[in-house]
Amino acid sequence: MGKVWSLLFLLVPVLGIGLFVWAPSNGYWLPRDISKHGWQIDHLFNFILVLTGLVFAATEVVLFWFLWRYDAKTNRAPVKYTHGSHNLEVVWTILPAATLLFIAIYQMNAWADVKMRKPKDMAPTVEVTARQFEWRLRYPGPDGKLGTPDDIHHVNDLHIPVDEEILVQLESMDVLHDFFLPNLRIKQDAVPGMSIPVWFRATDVGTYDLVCAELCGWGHYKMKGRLTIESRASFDQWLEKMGAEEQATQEPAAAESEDSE
Amino acid sequence: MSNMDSRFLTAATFLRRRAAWGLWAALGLAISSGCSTSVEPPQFRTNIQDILDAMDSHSPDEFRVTGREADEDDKATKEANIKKLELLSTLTYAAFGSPDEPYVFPEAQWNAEEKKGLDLKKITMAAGPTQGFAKPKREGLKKKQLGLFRQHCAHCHGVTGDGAGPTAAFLNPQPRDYRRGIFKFKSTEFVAKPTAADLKRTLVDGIPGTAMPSFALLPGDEIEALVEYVKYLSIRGETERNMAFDLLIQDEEIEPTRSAVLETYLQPIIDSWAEAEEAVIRPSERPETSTPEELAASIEEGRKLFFNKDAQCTKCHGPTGLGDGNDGSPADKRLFDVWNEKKQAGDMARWLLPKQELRPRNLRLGIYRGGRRPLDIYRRIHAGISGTPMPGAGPAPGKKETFTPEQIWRLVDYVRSLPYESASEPAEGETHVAAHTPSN
Repeated sequence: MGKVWSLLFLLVPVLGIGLFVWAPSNGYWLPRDISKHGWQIDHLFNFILVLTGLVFAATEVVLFWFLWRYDAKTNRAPVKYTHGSHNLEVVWTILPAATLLFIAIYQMNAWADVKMRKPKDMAPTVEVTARQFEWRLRYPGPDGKLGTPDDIHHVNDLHIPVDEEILVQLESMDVLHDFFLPNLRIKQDAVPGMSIPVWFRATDVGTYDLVCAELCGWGHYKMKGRLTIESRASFDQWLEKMGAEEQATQEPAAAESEDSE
Repeated sequence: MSNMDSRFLTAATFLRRRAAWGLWAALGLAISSGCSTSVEPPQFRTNIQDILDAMDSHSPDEFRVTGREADEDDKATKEANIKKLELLSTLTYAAFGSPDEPYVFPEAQWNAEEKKGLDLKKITMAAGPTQGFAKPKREGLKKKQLGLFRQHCAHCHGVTGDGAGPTAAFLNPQPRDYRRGIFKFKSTEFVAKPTAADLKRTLVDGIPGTAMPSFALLPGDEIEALVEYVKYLSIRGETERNMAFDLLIQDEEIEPTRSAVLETYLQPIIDSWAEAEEAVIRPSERPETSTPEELAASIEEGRKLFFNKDAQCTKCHGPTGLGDGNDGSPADKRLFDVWNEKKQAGDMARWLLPKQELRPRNLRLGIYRGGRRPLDIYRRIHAGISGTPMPGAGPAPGKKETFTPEQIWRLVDYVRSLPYESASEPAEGETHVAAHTPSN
C-alpha cells in the first residue's frame, strides 16, 4: 500500500511537467508579444521557469525516492536518528540564496528598462484615467498640449500608433486599478493621487486587450478596454474624427440617417 | 494501529471513532447547498409605490394586514383593491409578458414605414436569463435569447427597470427608473421622449460622473437590442402606471380586452415615443468664435448672461459655478428629482431606495453627464433636464424663451471655459491653461 502512495506522489511532477510540455504547442501559453521590449519579460519568465522546474523535478524525485526506499511495510531496518548535518544545512542555505541573488541582479536591467528609463523630453501620447469600471482617455488636441480645451476625450477605446515610442500618463479617479496590456507586457498600478508614466513601443498592428489587474470593486472582472494599434496616418485620422465629433455644434448627418430606422 | 496510548489519540483514530460520518455528512450538505435545479425565473415587480403615494387620502392600511379591528367597509375596500391589483397584474402581463418571455401586441410592434412601435425580435434578444459560461450561439438569432439586459443592466436598473436592482442602494446618483418614461439626457425637448439614438448614445458613451459605464465594446446589434429593451421596459412601466392610477385612484373600470388596453393606454405612449424624432433640438448656427479674441468676447458675454436675473443660473449653480448656489436652508429649498420628490420621511419602508437629494452641477469639473459636445450643452440649457428642477431657457410650447439661440451659444462658451479658469480669481477675459484637470 505504501509503494502505491510513492507512485501517486511521483505522478505530481510527471503530470505537472507533462502539462508544461504540452501546453505551449496547444495554445495555452503567453499571449502574443508585439512590443519591442517585451522579449526581456518573456526571457526572464522562461529562465525562471526552467530553473525552478529543474529544482522542482529534482526535489520531487528525491521525495519519491525516500517514500519508495523507506516504505514501512518493506523496510524493516531499525530507524537511525541523527542530530542533523551542519554542512548540509550550510549548503542548502547558501545555494538557494546565491540563486536568488543571481536572479535579483539578472532582472535589474529588465526592470529599469520598463520602469525607470523614461524617454526624455517626450510629451504624453495619451492620459489614461482609470475609473470604476472603465478607462477614460484624454488625448492632446491639435495644440499638442494636455489640459487645454481642445483635448479629445474618449472611453475604453484606446488607439495607439505603431512603431513609435508611446508615453501614457496613468492616473486613477477613485481606487487602485492596474493598467494591463498583456500583448505589450505592460502592467502598472494606477494609484489615486499619482500620475505615473508608462512607456512602450508596439511593433505590429491589430486589436488587443486592455484589462484591469488590480481588484477595484464589483466590476473589476469586466473592466476591459480595447487596444487598437494602427498606422500613424490611420491614428491621426481617427483622432481628428473624434476631435471633430467632440466639438460638434450640430447633429452629425451620418448619425442621423443611420439611426432613423 | 500500534501504540494506542489513550493520551495520544491520533487523527486517524479520532476520525474512525468519533462520528466521522457526521463530518462527512456536513461536508456533503455544505457542498450540495449550491446545487439547485429548480430556480424561480424572476418576475416583474408591480409599481406599488406610486399608487400608494397617490392614495394619501386613503388609509395605507388598505393594503396591509392590520392589527386593529377592521370594520366591514375597510374589509370590502381592501378586497376590492386587491382584486384591482390582480387585474392590473393580469393586464400588464397580457400586454407585455414576463422577463423571460417578453411580448408585444402585434398592433404595437415595430412598423418600419411609420417608424413606430417595439421591435419584438430585438427585445427577445435582450431578454431571458444570462448565459453564464456558455457561449451563446449567435447564428440565426431569431428566437435566441442572450440575456443581455440581465447580464449588463439588471443589477443596477432592476429586472423591472425600476432603478432598484441589488447594487442600486450603493449608488449616488441612483440608476434611472424607466417606468415614468422620463429620461434626463436626450436631444429632445423637455416634455418629449428620448430618441433611440439618445439611448444608444447613453449606452455607448456611458454617463461620466456616475456609475453608468460605457458599453462601447459591445457589438452593434447587442447595443440596439438593449436600447429596444429599455424602451420596452419604459413603455411597460408607463402603461402599468397609467392603468394603476385609473383603476385604483380614479376608480375606473378597465375592460379586460386587448383593444381597451391598447387604445386607451398603450397606443398613446407608443405614439409619444415615435414623436420624439420631431422634438429633436436642432440649434441654429453657432456664432463665429474662431479667433481667441472672438472666443474671449463670447465667454465674457456668457458670463454676464450667467448672472442674468431672469435665468437665475446662479441661484442653483452659484456665482462661481461650483453648484453651491442653493445652500439648502430653509429646508424647503432642497432640490429633488421627480423620482425622489414624493418620498416622505415617515414612509421609507414603502420605497425601494432611500430619498436622495439633488445637488446642482459643479460646472468647474469638466464632467458633463449628458455629453461634453457644445451641442449637448446647448441642449441642456435650451431644454433643461427632464425630471429635475433644471429649467429650459430656450423656447418651449406655452413658454416664452429666456434666452435667444445666440445667447445660449454664448452661455455654452462660458460653461465650457469654466474648468480652465480658476474659481478663486476668475480672470477677466483671460483663460488659463489647466495644469491638471480631473479628466472626465
